[in-house]
Amino acid sequence: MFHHTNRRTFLGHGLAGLGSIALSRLLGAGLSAGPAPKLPPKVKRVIFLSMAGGPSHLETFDFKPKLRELHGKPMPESFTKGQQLAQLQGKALTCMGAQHDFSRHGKCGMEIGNILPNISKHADEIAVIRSMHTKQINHDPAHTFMNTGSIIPGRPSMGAWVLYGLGSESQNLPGFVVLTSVGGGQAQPISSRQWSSGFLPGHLQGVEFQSAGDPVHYVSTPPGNTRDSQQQLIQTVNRLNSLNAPRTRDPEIATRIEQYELAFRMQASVPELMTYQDESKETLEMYGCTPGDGTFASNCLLARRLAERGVRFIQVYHRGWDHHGGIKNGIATTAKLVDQGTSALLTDLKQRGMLDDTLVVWGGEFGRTPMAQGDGRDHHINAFSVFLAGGGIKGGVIHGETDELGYGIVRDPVSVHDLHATLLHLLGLDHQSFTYRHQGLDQKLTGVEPASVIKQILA
Amino acid sequence: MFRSLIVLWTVTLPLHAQQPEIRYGRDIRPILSDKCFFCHGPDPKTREEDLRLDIREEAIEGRAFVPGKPEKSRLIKLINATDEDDVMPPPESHKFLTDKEKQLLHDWIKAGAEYEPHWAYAPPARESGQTIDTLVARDLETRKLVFSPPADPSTLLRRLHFDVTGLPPTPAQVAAFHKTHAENPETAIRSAVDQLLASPHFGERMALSWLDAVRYADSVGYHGDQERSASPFRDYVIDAFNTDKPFDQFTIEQLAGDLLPDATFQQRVAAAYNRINQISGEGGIQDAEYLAKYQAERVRTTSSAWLGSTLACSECHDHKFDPFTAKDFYSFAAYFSDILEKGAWNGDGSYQEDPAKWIAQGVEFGQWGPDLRVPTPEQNASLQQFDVQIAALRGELNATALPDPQALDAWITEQKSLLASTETRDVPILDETLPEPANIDPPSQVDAGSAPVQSGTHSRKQENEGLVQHIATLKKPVAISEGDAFFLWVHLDPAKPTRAVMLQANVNGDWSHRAYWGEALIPYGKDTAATAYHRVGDLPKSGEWVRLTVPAASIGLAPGTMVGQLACTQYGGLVYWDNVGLHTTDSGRLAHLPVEAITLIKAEVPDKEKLAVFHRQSLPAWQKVSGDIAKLEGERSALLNSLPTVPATISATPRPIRLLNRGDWQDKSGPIVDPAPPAFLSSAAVTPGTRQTRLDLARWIVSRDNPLTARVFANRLWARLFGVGLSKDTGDLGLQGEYPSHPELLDWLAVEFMENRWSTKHLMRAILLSRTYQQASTPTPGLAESDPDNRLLARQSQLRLPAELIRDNALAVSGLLNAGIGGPSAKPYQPPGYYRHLNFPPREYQTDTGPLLYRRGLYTHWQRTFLHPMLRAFDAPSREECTTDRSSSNTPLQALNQLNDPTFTEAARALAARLLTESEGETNLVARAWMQCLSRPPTAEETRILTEFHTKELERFTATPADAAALLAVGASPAPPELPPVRLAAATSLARAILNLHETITRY
Repeated sequence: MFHHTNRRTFLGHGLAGLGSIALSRLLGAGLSAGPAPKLPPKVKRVIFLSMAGGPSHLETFDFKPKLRELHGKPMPESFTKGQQLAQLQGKALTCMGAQHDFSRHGKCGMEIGNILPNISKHADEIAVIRSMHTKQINHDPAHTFMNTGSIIPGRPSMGAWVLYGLGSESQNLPGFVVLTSVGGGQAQPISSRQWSSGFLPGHLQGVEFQSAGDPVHYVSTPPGNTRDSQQQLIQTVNRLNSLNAPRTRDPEIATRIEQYELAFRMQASVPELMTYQDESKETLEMYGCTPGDGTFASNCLLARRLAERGVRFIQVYHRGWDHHGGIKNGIATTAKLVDQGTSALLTDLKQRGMLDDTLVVWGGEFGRTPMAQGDGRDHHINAFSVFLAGGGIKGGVIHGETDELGYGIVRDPVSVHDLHATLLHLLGLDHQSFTYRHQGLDQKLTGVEPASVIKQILA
Repeated sequence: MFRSLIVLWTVTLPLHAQQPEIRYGRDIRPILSDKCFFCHGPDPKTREEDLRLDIREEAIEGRAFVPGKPEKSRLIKLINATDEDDVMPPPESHKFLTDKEKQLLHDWIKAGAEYEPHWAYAPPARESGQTIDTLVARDLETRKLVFSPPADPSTLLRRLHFDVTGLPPTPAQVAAFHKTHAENPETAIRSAVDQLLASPHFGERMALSWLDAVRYADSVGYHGDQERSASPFRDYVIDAFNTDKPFDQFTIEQLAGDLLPDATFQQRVAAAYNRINQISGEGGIQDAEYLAKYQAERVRTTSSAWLGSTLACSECHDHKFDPFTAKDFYSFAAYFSDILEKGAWNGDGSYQEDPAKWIAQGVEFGQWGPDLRVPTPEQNASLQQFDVQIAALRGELNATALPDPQALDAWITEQKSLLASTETRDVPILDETLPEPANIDPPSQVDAGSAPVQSGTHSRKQENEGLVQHIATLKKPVAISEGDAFFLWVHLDPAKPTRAVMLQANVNGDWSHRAYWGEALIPYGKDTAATAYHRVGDLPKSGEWVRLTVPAASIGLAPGTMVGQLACTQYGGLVYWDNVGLHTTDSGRLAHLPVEAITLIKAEVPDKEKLAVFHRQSLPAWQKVSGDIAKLEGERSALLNSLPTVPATISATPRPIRLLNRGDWQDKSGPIVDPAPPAFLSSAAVTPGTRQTRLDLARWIVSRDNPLTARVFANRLWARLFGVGLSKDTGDLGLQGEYPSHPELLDWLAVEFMENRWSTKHLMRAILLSRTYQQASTPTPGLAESDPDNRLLARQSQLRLPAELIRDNALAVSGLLNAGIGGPSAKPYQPPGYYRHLNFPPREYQTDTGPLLYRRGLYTHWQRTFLHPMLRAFDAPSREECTTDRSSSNTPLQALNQLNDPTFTEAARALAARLLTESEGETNLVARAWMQCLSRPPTAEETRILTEFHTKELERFTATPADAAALLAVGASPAPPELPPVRLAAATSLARAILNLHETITRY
């Protein structure tokens, strides 16, 4: 939303006074915030489904028959020696086979856990990466790494980067929106740092939509005011502000005027966004939720509505995948809360012709151990699975491979930075030249280590 | 067209004045550093062709260039090469040289390719006879520019107020200033500056950016982001600026106040700097990993806050641009390795040294390690008052008459027979009749005059609708003997029945020894071990004293276990508690008697003189006074426990710090390093054989030989007062930082600072009194285009107020502001449910009430993972890490906040009420409101627009009075009932309009 203003700030060019050229330019639409894309973009927007807590790859996308064979037997030491473990550190390690069965789906015959029956229907549309790995074994820093590419708090999140690079297409909604739901497992806390703009300008930060109260903080007018009276107020403020512009030549005044107009539009567009009256019965049934009930499915529906309205980056969190104990029932419960919404979102986007220019990513901050932790699984960073779907993605593909126990990666490892590079690539941004200068360095989402686009999953 | 216009301006008005000579530091090194050093710089790991360009001799030896002969220089050939395989920088680096840069390199080599040390690493020096203004004027002259005219008095006074105290001038102050300014501007300004610098709000304003730099917050940051009290540190910072503590001393106290000889209490509070970093209590995390995170963060923050340096880049490798090595990084980290702490605060972590010795010294250890309790002066006085009262009572106790000889003999005989007996009996351990009664927290003692009492003179009253408990800390731990049972006396109120009572025993910090009667409603220990949640039976009869018992063994207390604390817990109702003890056969443990007395009684010839003293302690007169003492001591400790704490920095045995290969905390192959300053910056060698401490580090940071510290502070102060630093990136004065726009001015400021005892007020005053500072901020059209960021200083800057000040201003002009200094952080209105993503434990924000709702923004509770939405919207940082630059964004979320946040709506109503209550009432309402908020009268056009709006709102509220009532109900403070609601509501709308103006939140 806040694109225009910041082009000036970024480029360090002041607009003189409040001349008519400057004003029309400020109020114009469709300008990008940062550097223009250097590659032909495949998608316009991203919907990132963040499965917070760390879904087990061993019950979802990475079936390991050998692990079932060894169920209850000691984990071969060759796998774990010298490796960092979280809560299992220093404990006896026992194999735990998949707690749910898998079946083959689609023309491609992809194996997916039976706890995800609806996602399974999309086997031919999704590219599963079985060889993700990360650096951080605890939730908070692992999220930070997955979202910002750095373990140091305070770096910009990927949504902020994307908004910086491409700006927003929405005239009256934030360009980076975060939605959250909870349920099915231990609800690990998440920090607003996960959608922070870090050292990028503050307007690029993600805006979290609340499921209760005002969807956006302070979006409702104070009691005793009407839309009309609020408009009168804003017009008065803007008229007074514009009187000051030629006197002070303060370029921020023009921006301030525009932001008040935007705020006024948001006060109307946000409630409209949240009413869902125009959604058909079929659509609602497909998602299987009451709109606005705060469930993951409802958030998926809202994500589609946001995508339709030009929002650039939508991150949908579900907090509930941390199954240290009772994983058999726990993961089935969480999967049920997430499966239908994810599937409905893919179908819905496709039906509306939007899947072609949307990238959907589904995955957590890490995976879970092949070793049992009681009747659950501990955190695991050496291998986990995510899937991508949408524009530019080759469907029915499995990329990478783990060893026979699902512990380590034996083929095509994919780092978090590789995933980020791919995401940027699909948006038309070259991750190596897409930089922002901070503290004397040309900072990148993909950091200083080499990263590469995962070409094998691209259509 | 638009772009080319800008280019044109840039060509005609370059940032740096045209000067014939090329200067390496200003013109050449930025090019080399940015485009070449990554592969040809200080880091050997990424160096290509074994060529480094950052050292002249090596560059020449490596045949990069021939001084004076560009045509023979390889560097010139390669940067101009057309073949992709030859050209430098290589295309894959995504670095490119402009033609201008190529020309500069060429001309520089032709002129002899002279190097010079990096400006910020050479000691600051200044020409004599210069001032801020002469230096700026000299620079302006070379660009054919002049100073702008002085700001008009209103604008200047407003600027001074926001910059020095952060609070707006009142209309009366504005009027007075106009008057004195008309007589003698210089005197008027000087006097205003002096008054503002003497204000206690100066420290608050200064603290804002310092607290950003040292990442002060009220929560731990990682994972569950639980609250951690630290407000005394914040108050120390405010006080330090208010008392103009020299910055070198300020630095030393924060980094090493605890290590100073005879450290004062405030110096130990200051040292909390070392411990207010982010920490984690996440389950499953490992000590060593998090210790590595903490040590790296301390290097980042300390080097950035004080040295403006990116030493942190050397965590994984030698610095790519500055001469920092990875060894420098870990040697710097080693300074902090003595801080007593854990990595994992989840129960699994451990200190580097047994904390027993500090516990024995009375250091309090809370959930996040050692704490200091910090009283205000008033609280300190109360504590001393308690001490006086307790001392007086002790005197009274000692003056109690000794028993007569016959009574003493009878008593001795009785004690002897008790000692010989093998019968069980009740021995109290928690009762005011004991010679040294336990500390009760919270104090709940009531005396027989007002309550039922079972033993002695007092019982303990406890009443609540839910869970409630008091904890007794025994003066001496009590040993459990074979066969012991606990007894306790309770009196349940029949009118206010409780549903459960519980007795808990604490053994070495472990509370998992619990017995309860009644329903399983008390959560402590529930669903854990049987002995940690042992149900004895039903609740006893109410309305009378009942003795309950439970065998020590059934709550897991084996013989020999030492019990140090007891807790009495109930769920609901009203219960009187009294006399808890052991039912025992242990003849060595007699009621009311310490071990020494027992030894005396057992002696063949008892020492009657000494025994008389012990007997006296069992007399009612003695017990009455000792009960009163126990009560006062309880109240004293309750006050103590209510004091805010600050994390204590305690110096313990240093942990060995290894040079970690690529920052990997699991790699133990690197050498152990000792504390040392970065090698290239330290002239004095570290004395061999003695380990450097944080105090050495602090003294090195503020030594006159350190070229960075004073420049960094002066540059940041300048950035605050002009919007941008003289070197733009205030967090990096290293090689990738910017060559200063006015290097001589920056050095002048740095030297002025150091030569005037590092006085912040002196430096502030010097800048505030300069013509440069006092210029108008309105740019000419030309300057607006060519110098939008005001790097040339041909005017002042136009700056949006920081987040906290936007809040302060609204509260101040409305009269709602609580101007109190310091104290625990406050919780103003916040949207409900904002903390719903927090867990361990889940939390609901508890909004404050009364005056705490109207505290200044800097006192707002700083929750790192979910900073208050208003502060966040206006660019306040989360303070997870050191922040030296706040961005200044301009967004619709800010507009929504100012339009709709109840804080601003309430402030508007309070401002309206304030104006309507004044004698003029509604006369000149627009002009008065305007003057109150903007320190100037409105123009005719402004008055017309606002009057029109006010009239419309008056009509609207007249038509719908319910709307008026609804608007006036916003906020916790009541609207004055005597004002007609419709008129007050319309005036509130008027005030809302003014509070939302860009000018209201901008300092011009």
